[in-house]
Amino acid sequence: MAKEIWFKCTKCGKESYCDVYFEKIPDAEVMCPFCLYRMKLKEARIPGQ
Amino acid sequence: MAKDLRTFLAAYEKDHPEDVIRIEKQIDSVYECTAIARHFETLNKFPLIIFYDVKTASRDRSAFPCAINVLGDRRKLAYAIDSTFEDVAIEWRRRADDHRIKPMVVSKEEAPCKERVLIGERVNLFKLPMLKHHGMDPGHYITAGMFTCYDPDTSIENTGFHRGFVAGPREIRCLLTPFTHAAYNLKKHEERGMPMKVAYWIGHHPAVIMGAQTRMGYPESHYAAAGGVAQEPLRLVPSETLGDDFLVPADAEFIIEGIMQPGKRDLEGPFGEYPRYSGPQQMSPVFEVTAVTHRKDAIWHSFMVGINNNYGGTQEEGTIYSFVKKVIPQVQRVYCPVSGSGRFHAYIQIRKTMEGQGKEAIMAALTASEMTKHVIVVDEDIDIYDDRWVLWAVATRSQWDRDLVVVPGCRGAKLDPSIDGVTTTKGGIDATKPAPPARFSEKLYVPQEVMQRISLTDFIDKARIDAAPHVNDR
Repeated sequence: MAKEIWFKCTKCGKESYCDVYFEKIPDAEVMCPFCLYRMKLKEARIPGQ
Repeated sequence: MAKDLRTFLAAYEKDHPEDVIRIEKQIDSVYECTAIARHFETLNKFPLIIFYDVKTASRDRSAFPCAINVLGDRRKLAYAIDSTFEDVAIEWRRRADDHRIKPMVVSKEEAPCKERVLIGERVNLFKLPMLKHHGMDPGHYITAGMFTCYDPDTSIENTGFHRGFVAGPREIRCLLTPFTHAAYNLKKHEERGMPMKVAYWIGHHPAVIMGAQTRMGYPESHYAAAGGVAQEPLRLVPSETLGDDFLVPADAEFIIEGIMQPGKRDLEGPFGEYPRYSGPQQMSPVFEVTAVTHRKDAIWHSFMVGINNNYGGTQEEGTIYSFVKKVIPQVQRVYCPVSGSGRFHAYIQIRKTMEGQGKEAIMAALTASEMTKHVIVVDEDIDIYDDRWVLWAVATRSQWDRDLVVVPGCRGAKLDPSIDGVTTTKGGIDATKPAPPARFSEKLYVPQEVMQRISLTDFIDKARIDAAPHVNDR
């Protein structure tokens, strides 16, 4: 089972990941570690990851 | 004089000047200090390095130096507690378990950590020489901060290393992993709707750090264990902003004080962690900083997390040893090698006297910690500090249908990227020979008398010996 959820920053386009439990957080936000931009996970999640 | 980082540095440099490096040239806190440490790791060297001119997160020159690899390898740990390479883990555990010393409280005037006091908005953490370590880290981290909080029921303190992402000039987001006592203390506070008073203390004598970081029962005083390992009472002093009953080490280099509001979490990570992977982003508790106090010429301390793992591994060894010893008194030594990130593999050496001891040692070791994942038990003729010979024992003394133990569904280390949610499959291999009086094939040997009589330099120039390529040279 995957331990992380990969996402792609909607601002800088770089890829990173958050813990799999973010899936259970309603309307979860994530932060791009490269540019610190915050976004909704559902808008940034990489399909299939 | 009380033990502190300075007494350690002075003594260690006097005895091992070749292992202390001072760098005056300016270096960026963003990746560059890590690059230096990585280059040394490639050489399999972990010198204690002090950077005197660090460009900080605020892009200024730091007023303070930054020390790395203070606990960078097993030899330094042994030196810190006047022990040996082989015995350090057991001695650390023995002192923490059996020789605890109650701390003592001193006045603020007697506390070097109070030489400078910054309260509220005077604090700007970005001016400190903390490091941004690896490529996917979101910013600068406190890595050698001893996170301190109290059990609200007993008022017993808990201390342990917990990484802290410095997200603002007075905001730190701290990873408190689920099975830790700090996380349990926070849960207790939150259930009562109470903020939790917290502190980081940074920079102290390695013996004090080792004692404070010892894996212990709950709730038990880590300050007493720190005194036990250092063999003197830890000097404590009341905090500046958390009340007189919140005590911090008087001889630390830096103290960061603050509170965690109940239920408050924010984004933290990914962070390059000890398994040598970037651990995923978390929702972590927020440490709102209320004060920083420090020595006037304070030295910052950073761990090079994920670069060498001797520190955490050595601690695990002592814990595993004490668990196994209760079941198999014939246990000789335990080693948690770097090949298991200092946590996941444990090599156990026993003096086998009867069948079944190997498997019982495996089962005892697997319960010592959620991090102990793979155990290999070997005989006392195997050098457990060298992966080659442990794997040789596996190759020649085990049969997997007979000697393998597999235990699914155990608690797992959160930062192990291979675990299934929170559980892991643990296991072990009994790679011991049959117990006496059974016989087993004879290991190759050259008669000891000949080995002692014949030396390389009797036949070959030393320069020629030194110039011969190392087997790992590419």
